[in-house]
Amino acid sequence: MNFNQNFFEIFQLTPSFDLNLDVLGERYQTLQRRVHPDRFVGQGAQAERLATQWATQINEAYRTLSDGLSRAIYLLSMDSIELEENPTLSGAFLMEQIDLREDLEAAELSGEASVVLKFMNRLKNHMAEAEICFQKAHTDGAFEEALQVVYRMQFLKKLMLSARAAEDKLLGY
Amino acid sequence: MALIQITEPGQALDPHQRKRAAGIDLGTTNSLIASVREGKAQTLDDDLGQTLLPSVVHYAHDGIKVGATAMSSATIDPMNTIASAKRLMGRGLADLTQTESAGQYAFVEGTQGMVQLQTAVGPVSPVQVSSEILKSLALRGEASLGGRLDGVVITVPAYFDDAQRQATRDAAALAGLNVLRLLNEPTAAAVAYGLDSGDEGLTVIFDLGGGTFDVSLLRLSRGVFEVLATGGNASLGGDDFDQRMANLIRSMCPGEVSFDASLSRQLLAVARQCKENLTTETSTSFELVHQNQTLSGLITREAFEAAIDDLVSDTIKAAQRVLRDAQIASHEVAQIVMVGGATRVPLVRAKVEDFFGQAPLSEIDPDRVVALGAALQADVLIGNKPDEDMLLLDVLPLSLGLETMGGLVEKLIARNTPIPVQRAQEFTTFKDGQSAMLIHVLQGEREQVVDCRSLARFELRGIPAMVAGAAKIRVVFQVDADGLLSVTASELGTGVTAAIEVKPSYGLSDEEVTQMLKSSFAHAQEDAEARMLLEARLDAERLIEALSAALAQDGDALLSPIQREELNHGLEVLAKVASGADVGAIKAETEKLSQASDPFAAMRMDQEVRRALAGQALDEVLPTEST
Repeated sequence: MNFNQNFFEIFQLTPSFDLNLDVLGERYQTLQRRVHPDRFVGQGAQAERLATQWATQINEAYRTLSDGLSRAIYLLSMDSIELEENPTLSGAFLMEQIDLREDLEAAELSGEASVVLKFMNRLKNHMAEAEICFQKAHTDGAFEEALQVVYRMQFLKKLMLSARAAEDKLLGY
Repeated sequence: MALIQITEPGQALDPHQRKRAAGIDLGTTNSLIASVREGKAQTLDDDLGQTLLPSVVHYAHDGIKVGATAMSSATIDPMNTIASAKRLMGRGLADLTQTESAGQYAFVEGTQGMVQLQTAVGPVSPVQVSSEILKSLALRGEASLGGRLDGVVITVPAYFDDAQRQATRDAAALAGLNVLRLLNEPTAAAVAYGLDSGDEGLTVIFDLGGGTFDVSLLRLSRGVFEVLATGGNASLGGDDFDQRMANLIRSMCPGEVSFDASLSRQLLAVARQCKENLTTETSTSFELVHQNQTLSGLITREAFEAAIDDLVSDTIKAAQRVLRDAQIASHEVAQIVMVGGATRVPLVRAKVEDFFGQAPLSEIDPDRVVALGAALQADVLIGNKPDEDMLLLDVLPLSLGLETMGGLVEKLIARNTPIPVQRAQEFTTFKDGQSAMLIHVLQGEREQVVDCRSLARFELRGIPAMVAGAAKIRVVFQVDADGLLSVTASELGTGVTAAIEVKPSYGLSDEEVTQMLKSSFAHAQEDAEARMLLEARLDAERLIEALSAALAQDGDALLSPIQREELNHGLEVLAKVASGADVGAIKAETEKLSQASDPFAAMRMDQEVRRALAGQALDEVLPTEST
């Protein structure tokens, strides 16, 4: 298997944050249709093993590219930019974190699932905004700025998970 | 330039030679087998015209009985009559609930931690019990289809963990069946409906069986079934409805009636009948005979529905949760498929219809739909339908992880991740000079080790002496298309690599399967040697067939004349050895040629991937560069 191919190359797509997810989904299916182990049943251990390797790689590529945050991280890694474990963050971003956390707490305390839902919709808007920022910074080659946006996206995603957990609880799951 | 023609992978080499493939629904209460005949999936009946085979096996000195005949022994010889073995698959003695272990069977600890049942002929494992059911169904299939089955698809509940899947595979191996794939029951149901109607969009599979509830969300598009999310409740089913009905009837009997074992059994049977009557009637009467006294009364559908309302609401809640996991709204669902006998209860249908805003599909018998779907999939996998575009993309039902410090589970692969999948994680040592590390593999959603299912434990030894934290242990989880896991661990830090492959502890070891196979053949007076020779030859022939076809197609394009000559020579040698009777030599030559042709197979696969997207790439994908 050609492991040197990057995830975009697998789907024959131009590396870019701005990806047509419908095209990605279609190509994912087209590829899986060819390489999935189901297509190689009874053709020997060798064929099934190769098919499993390819299907695994295609699943991993699809999973990485179909999600905004992991796609952003992957794009940066293609330019050898890795996330730091304890990055220096701007004061404004830290303030935003505190505010949003407090808002989530207040939503939880309200005891109303609908209030948490409203908060989640707000987070979604923030995320969409961040994705636009990333797209621009990445296209401009402003990698340091793009990296800062990724940290923000990471935070938003984590907070979204907490909000979902809070909503779960309020809905009684 | 002349175009190179390539056939679709999976296409049978001789299109006229149809293979015998079947789908098997190995159920808790009943099992059945189906196959595609004349282009249509059909269930296969036994000599008496029965479709459902009760999943019951009776063990006695004069032989093993399966199905209805075994069931008749249940009252006379309960200890040796094993029912619902599916619930025990892949389970250890410690996993059994108190009611289970206090039941009629004598449980003993088996090898590899798996539970066994003490019978008149000695201890038997649930895997053996299941293999008897599979054998019985396979015989039925052979009789109907006129020869040995070339391959089967066996269905398993979507929530089955790795140990349960492995146990199912072992049961099939023990029954001498060639398993093409383990298929999730809800996916099978979708296949049964989806292929005929050609529907597109989101499908919910609502599977309420005797003892379990399973709900899955699938996306169908262009022949691809993608499982987006699964959920459910492993201890909720039609049996609970029967119990509620029994309570209802009991509450209508005079207080002085004492319900002994025999009356309780009668009560449960009457309750089940009442439940079934209320599917079509709005009220039904019951009659219990006890010590020359007849107890009778009238049950309305309304009263029954009030008694099961909370249970049905729970199923809706689980469905709601699955939609949430996938972030889908209920009105976006295009169709709902009902599976399992308990979905005949009108209240279930009504609540489902109310929640989704549309009536569920029920044209196909909910007891047969899973087997029918499995038959369709078996037909495709065996290569009988080379032009079929159907593909199933399944997900991992439960998260996989490792034990870390403090009895916590570190998740490596989250549930609902598409399979096959591979994930790696690096760990390090805790103490200076630590030379071994315990790898404990777990499956489940909870954070604590004690709340998850333990799949395997193994030690990685021979770690070179280093200070704490300096060693780098890389653990790799690989889940294949059947949802089966293999784990390897290796030490990377110093270049010293030790690796081990594990099989979950609740399955059978390969030696055990071989041993059991041998003894079962001896029992059936079949010549094990002849069987092994046949299998080795089949493997060799398969390789010869596949490699010859591959060489004819791509040999010139991808190989140098020398490489090609080497493989041709290997083919000749193997063909010669395969015509002999030396099992060891056939296996060795098959392995040798398989390895020699590895690079060629890999090149073909890479080419396949490139070609899959050829043609659409330049124009559609790079508009900015081409304009």
